[in-house]
This record gives sequence, C-alpha cells and structure tokens, in this order.
Amino acid sequence: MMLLSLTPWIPAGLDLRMFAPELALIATIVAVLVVPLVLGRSGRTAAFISLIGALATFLLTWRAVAGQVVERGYAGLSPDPQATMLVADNFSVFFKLFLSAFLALIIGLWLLRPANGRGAAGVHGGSAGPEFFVLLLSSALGMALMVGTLNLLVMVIAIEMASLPSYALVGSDKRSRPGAEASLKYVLFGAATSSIMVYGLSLIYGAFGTLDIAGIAGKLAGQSVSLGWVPAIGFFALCVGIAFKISAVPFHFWCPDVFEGAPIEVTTWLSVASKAAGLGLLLRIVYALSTAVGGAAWLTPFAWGIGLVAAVTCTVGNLAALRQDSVKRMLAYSSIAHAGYMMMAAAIFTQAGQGQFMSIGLAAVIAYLMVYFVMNLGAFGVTALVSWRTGTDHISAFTGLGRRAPALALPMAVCLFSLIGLPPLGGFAAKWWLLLALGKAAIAAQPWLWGLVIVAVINTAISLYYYVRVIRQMYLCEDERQSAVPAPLGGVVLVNVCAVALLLLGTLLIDKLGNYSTYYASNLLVTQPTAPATATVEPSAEPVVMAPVNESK
Amino acid sequence: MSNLLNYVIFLPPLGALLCLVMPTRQLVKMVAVATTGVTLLLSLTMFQDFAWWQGDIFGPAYGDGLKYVSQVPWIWVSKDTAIQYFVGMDGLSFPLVILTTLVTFLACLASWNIEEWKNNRGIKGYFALFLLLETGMLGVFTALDFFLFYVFWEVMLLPMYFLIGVWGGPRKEYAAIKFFIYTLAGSVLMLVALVAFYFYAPEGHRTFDLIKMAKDPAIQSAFSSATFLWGLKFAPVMFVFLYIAFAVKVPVFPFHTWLPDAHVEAPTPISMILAGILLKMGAYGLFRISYPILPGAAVWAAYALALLGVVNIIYGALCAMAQTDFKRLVAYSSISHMGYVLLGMAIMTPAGFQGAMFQVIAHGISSPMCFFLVGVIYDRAHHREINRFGGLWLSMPIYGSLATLGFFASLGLPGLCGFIGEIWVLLATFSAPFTWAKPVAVAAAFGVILSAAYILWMIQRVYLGPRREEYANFPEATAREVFILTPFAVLAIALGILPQQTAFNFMNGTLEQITRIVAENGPKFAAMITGG
Repeated sequence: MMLLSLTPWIPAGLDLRMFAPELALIATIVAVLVVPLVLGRSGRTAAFISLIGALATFLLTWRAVAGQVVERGYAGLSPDPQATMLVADNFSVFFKLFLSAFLALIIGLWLLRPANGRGAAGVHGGSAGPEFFVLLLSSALGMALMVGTLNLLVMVIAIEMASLPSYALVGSDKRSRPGAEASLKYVLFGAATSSIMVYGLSLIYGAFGTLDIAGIAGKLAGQSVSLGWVPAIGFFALCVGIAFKISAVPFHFWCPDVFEGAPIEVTTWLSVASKAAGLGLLLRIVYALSTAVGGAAWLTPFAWGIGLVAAVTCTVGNLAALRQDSVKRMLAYSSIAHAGYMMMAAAIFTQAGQGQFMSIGLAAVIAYLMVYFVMNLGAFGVTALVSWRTGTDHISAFTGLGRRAPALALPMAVCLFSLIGLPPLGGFAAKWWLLLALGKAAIAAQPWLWGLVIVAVINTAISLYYYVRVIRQMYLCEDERQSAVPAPLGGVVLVNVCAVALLLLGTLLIDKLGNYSTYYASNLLVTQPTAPATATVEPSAEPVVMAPVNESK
Repeated sequence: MSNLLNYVIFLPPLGALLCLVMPTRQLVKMVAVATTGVTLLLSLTMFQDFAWWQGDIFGPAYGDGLKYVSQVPWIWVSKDTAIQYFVGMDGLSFPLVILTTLVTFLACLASWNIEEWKNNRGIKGYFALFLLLETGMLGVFTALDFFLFYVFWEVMLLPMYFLIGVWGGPRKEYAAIKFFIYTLAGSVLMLVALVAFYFYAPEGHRTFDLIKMAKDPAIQSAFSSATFLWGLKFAPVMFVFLYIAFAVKVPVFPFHTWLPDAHVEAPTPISMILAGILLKMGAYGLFRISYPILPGAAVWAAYALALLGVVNIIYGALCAMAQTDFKRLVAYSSISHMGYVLLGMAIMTPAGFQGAMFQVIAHGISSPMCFFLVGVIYDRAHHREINRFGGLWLSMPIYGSLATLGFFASLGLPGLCGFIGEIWVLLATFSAPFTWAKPVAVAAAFGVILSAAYILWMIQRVYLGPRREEYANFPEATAREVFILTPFAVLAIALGILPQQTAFNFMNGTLEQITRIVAENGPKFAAMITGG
C-alpha cells in the first residue's frame, strides 16, 4: 500500500498547478487571518480580502486549470498513480467555478447588509469579525475538495472540512438564540451522520483493502451477481453521510431549522453550495461505480434506492413547504425539494458498454445547478433585502411589495416562477434537461425512471402553491402599510440581474445551457481498472474537446 | 410576407413594453387598443391565403396546406434532432387565430372603463399582461412543435393568474390560484407526454414536430405497440395524460370547478377572453395533438369521451339552471356548450369533427358576447343577482335587443351560430357507426331543451317583466358598448345563415385530413391496444 509507505512523496509542480484554486483558497484563509494583525480587526477588510480570494480562485480555475484539463485530460494528485487522491477534470472544474462564483456573490451579499440596527433574531446579525470569513472560506475549500476526490479518506476529510465551519457559521450571530439552537442541531445531526459514514468506510476498507473508489470499482467489476453484506452496509452508510449534506429525506430534519436560524447569507450559501458539493460527490461515486460495473444485478437496488429517496425527498420537501409562513423556512424546504429533483439524475445508472448514457445524468445536474444558483441567489437576495429592512422574513413582510418596492418584487416573482419550473424561465430549462436525461435513460435501460418523471412533474404542480403564496402576498394582497422598502442599489442590481439571467436561460440560452453542461460532464476521471478489465468503458462518447491522456500518469 | 404570422404573434409584447413606458393612463389604453387593433388587421390580411373561393387551400394531406410557416432550429436535443421554433397555420389554426385577435381587440375595448372597476390598481400592468396573454394564445394556436406549444401554453398562465388575481372581484385570490393550480396540474402531465413522445419514437425518427409525429408510420406504429410503465400500453396512457391536460382547459366535467369561480371573479374583458379563447385551447389541443398522433387511443376511448361530453352538456345545463348569479349562469352554460365539442370529436366522423370545430368557433363568438352583456349591466347595477333584475329591456331597448340576440345565439336558435354547431354534432352522433351512438345522441339532444329552458327563464327574469324602479333610469348602452357588441352580433347571424361560406370552407379540408388519419390508423391501432 502506497498510503502506508514511509518514503516521502513530493507532488510534481505540474500536478500542483492543477490544484491552484484550492491553494488560492488556502492562501486567502491565511491572508484573512494574518491581515488583521497588521490592519486591525475589521469585517469589511476581511470581506474584501475574501472577495479577492474568491475571484482569484474563479479566475485561476477558469483561465489556468480549465485549459490544463483540456490539454492534459484529467489529472490526479497522488503518490500512487493508480489511485488518485485528488482529481482535476471537467467535472471538478465546473464545481470550483460554481463554488468560487457563489462564494464571491455571498460575500457581496454580506457587504450589502446594512451596518446599523439589529432586528429580530436570525434575520440580522452575522459576525463582523474576520473569523466569519475564515469559516466561510474553509467550508468552500472543503466543498471544492469534496467534488474533486475519489478517495474515501479524502472524502471524509473534505466533508468534515465543509461541515465543521458550517456549524460555526450557522451560529455566527452570537446574540441570536435561534442561531445557537440551529447550530447545535446541525452539529448533532452532522456528528451522528458522519460517524455512521466513517463506520461504513471502515467496513468498505475492510472488505476491499483499499480506500480508492476506482480500486474498489475495479475489484467489483468481476462481481456481477452479488455484493455481499459487509460492503453493502458500508456503501449504505457512505450514502447516509452524503444524504446529510444533500439534506435528502430522512436526513433532512436539520435543514429547515438551520436555514431559519442562520444568518441569511449563510442560509443562501448552504442551500446552494453545500447541496451542490454533496450532489457532486454522490454523482462521482455513482458514476465511478456504474462505469466499472454497470449493469450488474446488485447495482439495481442501489439505483432504486437513490430513485426512491429522490422521489420522497422532493415530495416531502414540497409538502412541508406548503405550510410555512417564514419565507426563509419555505425556501429551505424548497431547497430540499430541489435537491430531490437533482438526486433523480443520480438514479441514472449507466449500462456497461453504453457509452452515450455515461454522462447525461451528470450533465442534467450540472445544468440544474447552474440555474438553481441563479434562482436561489435571486430569491434569497430579495428575502435578505426585505427582511433587513423590515426586521422579519415572515410572509407578511412581503405584503404589497409589488407597490412598495417594484424593483424587488418583480425579480422575486421571476425567481419564484422559475423555482416552480414554468417556461419561459430558467427553472423550466433546468427541469427540461433533467426530464430529458431521465427519459433517455428510461427508454434505454431503466423504464422505471418514467415513474420519477411523473413524480417530478406532479411535484411541480404541488410546489406551485407555496411559491405563488409569496407572489400573491406581493401583488394580490392590499397593503395596509404603505411604507416603501428602500434597498441598496447593489442589491437591486444583483437580484434584477438574476431575473434577467433566468429569462435568458429559459429562452435563448437553453441550448447553450445544454452544451455547457454536456461539456462539463464529459471527459471525466473514472476508474483506473486494476482488476480484469471486464467492463472498461471509454469515459465519454459525447463530443469532447480532447481525448483523455491517461498514459501520462 | 411569410413573416406575417411572426409579426402577429410578437406584436403584442412589443405593445406591452410600450404600455409600460407611456406617461398617462389615456395613452396606455390607446397603445393597448392600437396594438390589438393592428394585430387584428394584420391577421385579417391572412384571408388572402385562405381564400377558399380561389381554389384548394388545404393541400392533399395533413400538413401540406400549412401557410405562413417559420421553421428555425432552437434547441439541439441530440446531434440530429432539434426543438424548433416552428409556427404555421392550417384550417385548424386559422379560424382560431382570427377569433383570438378579434376577441382580444374587443375585450381590450371592453377594458376601456378600467378606472371604474374601483379596485385601485395600476392600468399599465393590466394592459401589459393583457397583451402578453394574447401572444401566449396566438402561440398556442400556431405552434407546430410540441415543445413550443407547451411553452406558449404555460406562458399564457402567468398573465391570466395576475389578471384574475389583481383586477378581479372579491374572491379573486381564491379563484386565481384555483385556476393556476388546476391548469398547471393538467399541463405537467402534458410535459410527461412531451418527453415520452420524443423517446418512444424509434431512433432516427425522433422529433418534436407535431405534423411529423402524426404522419410518420414508424412513429405511429411504435406508439401503438409500446408499453409504458407497469405493463400499461403507451398510447392510452399518453392519451389520458393529454386528455387531462386539455380537459382542464375545456373544461370537462370532473375538472371544471375552476371555471365558474374564475369567471365570476374575473373582470368582464378577462371573462370574455377566458370563455372565448382559453376554453378553445383545450379543444384545439385535442384536435392538433391527441387525435392525429394517438388515433388508436382515440378510438379506444371514444365511448368514454362521448359519455363525458354528454355529462358536460347535461350537467352544465342543469347547473346553469340552478344559478342565481348571472355570470355564473353564463359560465355553466359554457361548460354545457363545450360538451358538444367533446361529443362531436368523440364521434370522429367528418361531420362530427366539423360540428365540434364549428361549435368551437360559434361558442367563441356567442360566449364573449354573453359575458360582455352581463358586464354591461354589472357596470350599472353593481350586482349580478338574476332575481333582483327585471324589465331591463324597457329602459335599455338597444341593449335589450342585442342581449336577446346574443343569448339566443348561445341557446342555439336556428339562424344563429349556436344552432349549426349543435345540430351538426347531434346529426353526426345519430348517424355514427357505433352501437352506443343513438342513445348518446338522444341524451345529448336533451341538452338543447335544457339550454333553451335556462336561457329563456333568465331572459324572462332579467329583461322582460314589469319595469322596476331601481333600474328605470339605467342609461342605454353607450356607443362603445354597442360597438363591441355589433361584430359579435353580425358574426352570430352570418355564421348561422351562411355557415358554409363563413366557417366550414376555411377548416373542412384540414378536418378531413385529420379524419382520414384517424380512420386509417385508428381502428387498426385500437385493436393493438385492446388485443395486447
């Protein structure tokens, strides 16, 4: 085992360059910690440094790494070329772009928060100290690692790296009782699920003697009949840990309380980034496993399980959201529902030898995430701007907003309609690519996926009610309080840009959305077959820029 | 001039944008009326290409006679298949497009007194949404790509929700959300069909093109032989999904409850659009998608569909008879009259299809007229209790005459438009080649009596009788109101007297082509469905 070898290992510079974004995040964390020693403690300074760091991460990923990935194919960082610890490929490039862009916008949202006056708990607040940003950046780093690994140990480290700062972020407003309660709930839930996950990993390690998913998949490739109880429990426990991050039912109970209690920037961050990272990890595992052993009989219950959890997750999320009066809490449940929709794509298991289906599920999720990014940012952005001003995120704060603040109400309406998934908005485009992916897989190999299609569309109709409740409050209800809601110009621009982007994504850019997502889902690092190569499949048959260069490693 | 149709579809949103930047209320209204007016005129110029008196306008087979076609790839779904921006018109679309532009223009004029509605809401938003709605409706009637059809279908929902919800009556919020949820719940099932239609076609034939789906034998046989989930046959499942989507709009009996609420709460012009055009979208969807693409399932379901049609006719009429709210009565009469459309379609003979389509047009003329007639007295009396009215004809003679004409047209008096549609459907049902046809026709014929009963009784209570003090000094219909009612009245008479020249000749060719598709493929595929 190379892991246990005592010879020191120094990664090659060229390999390290592929991980410049992570290094940039680490550098930013250090800078945020060190700079206050010189300039004094200031939230704004820390925010600006973090913003620069986030943008630098984005640019590095975009300009340097993305090109490298295209040039070199995918790359792994590991002392053992057969078992990579960290992965840089199109998929992780997408998630790093996604996370760093969202990080920058979250910091931007924090900067928009009015400095004066602290109102109701959970609405105002958020630590002004640099440590807030250290935590935020650390969780971003953890999420970036989550989507860039195929090693179980790194997975644990990444998940903890993403979770531990999040616990503290949720309780970062020290004067907020709901915040503290939410934080505690989050910790307890997180601790329980991650201990289950670590236990599962120990079983997997015991069964296969390796921590590398690729290696495990290679060993499994020979087993087409049954999996055995020990690894089955191990995989199940692994899924529990991931389900917690995605807030899939029945591991979703933390989500509404945490989202309601946390400062709204943190809620926004967790609702999008944390779920995206969890989904990325899940998809990568599913993808790696099904590539190696696609079509094996024992994979079917695994696919069924994910499909079932996805269906239940979106149904439960939508039904629970129907009764919420806090807009923040309603959006929390809605994020559970959307996680369910996205998880459906993870139930698309490839069949060995059917290369063209390899990446459609991934592409669908990537497309969905891109849209989800925009619509959640817009919806939470407006909620933040309204609740900062009125002191509450109760639905009554939105009464008559169509008149009191048309520049906020209209983008909110657009975002909510998009969250429902109505054309011609981005949410429909996202749902469309998802349904198309499900349909494609259903017709090819898994007809039961039509059931998921039906569940998804029926949920669309259910979700209509609670999203429209907010719209009704904004436009249909008479406003007894005539006061206008002034908002900072930056905030108004931000949410309106989101609305315009959604309109474009749903009309002129549907095609582009599909293209980009297909591209980022192609050319992935998959299994390095170590066992008899019974089920080796080329990474992708979709049009790719360049064939992977496996030999270089 | 091939872009003419695109101009017609996308002129209204431009007008909507213009409305939003107009400085005064008067200008907003003028822009809106001008936009709908120009749209109407542009659509009227299309008669030059549908001039049946100059020769065949339909082409030999379904899809050959399309006019004003625009076809541009939009979204590439696979390497060789794209969702298209594909619009065009044949005998099915053309009358409905004209109806849409006409009713929208008149409804826009009917909105002229928006300041008097006393709900103190902005008028820019109203007219902008109103124009957006027109685009959605025109898009539905002209889209020939299933995806595009679906997008337009949904696009029309949002403005309607706000138009009812913001500018509606006392229970507007309830009515608006009910309308929204019912329609969306139906249309998401259409979304399943949209995806499934694409994938169930054999590879190499996959398309979203509605014409191609109906004509490609490979797709047709694949649809008829495939199974969907849990061993259920593909074609009937899809037919049911689509039927629910369209039935909510028509509305068919168990899915109809949104309609009376929406009508009662909606402002008069929106009721006109709702009754005159929106309900027709359901019927159009059945004509355009369900019957040509799933003929086997249509034959398989014919009896059930006919029964639902009869239930609609009788149940709607009985409900209408029990109403004391004037607008609710007209709303239920819409349900009753749309039953003839369903019945005619279920028969699937040329006469049945023609009768159904004629009834669509006829109802598209008579029902907006009736709703406007109700609106006129509501503007004066501010209530709609039928039993509190009486003797209105005495104080408003011109209005009273037009009202009688409008309600008689709706009733189906010979010589007016409603008669032709109903009698055509009934005759087709009597002569239909089904064992169940004659009893069904007898049952449906009772609907005629019932509708005569509730309309005559209503006329007696509202317009006839002794002059009542509180309504004695009601002002006569204004010039604007008469101007709105006149085109409806003229058309009601013209369609009743010259049905062949004013309606049938514009659409029969296409309907025959659809009938042929159904007759050729229907029984054969239906045998595959029932035979397993």
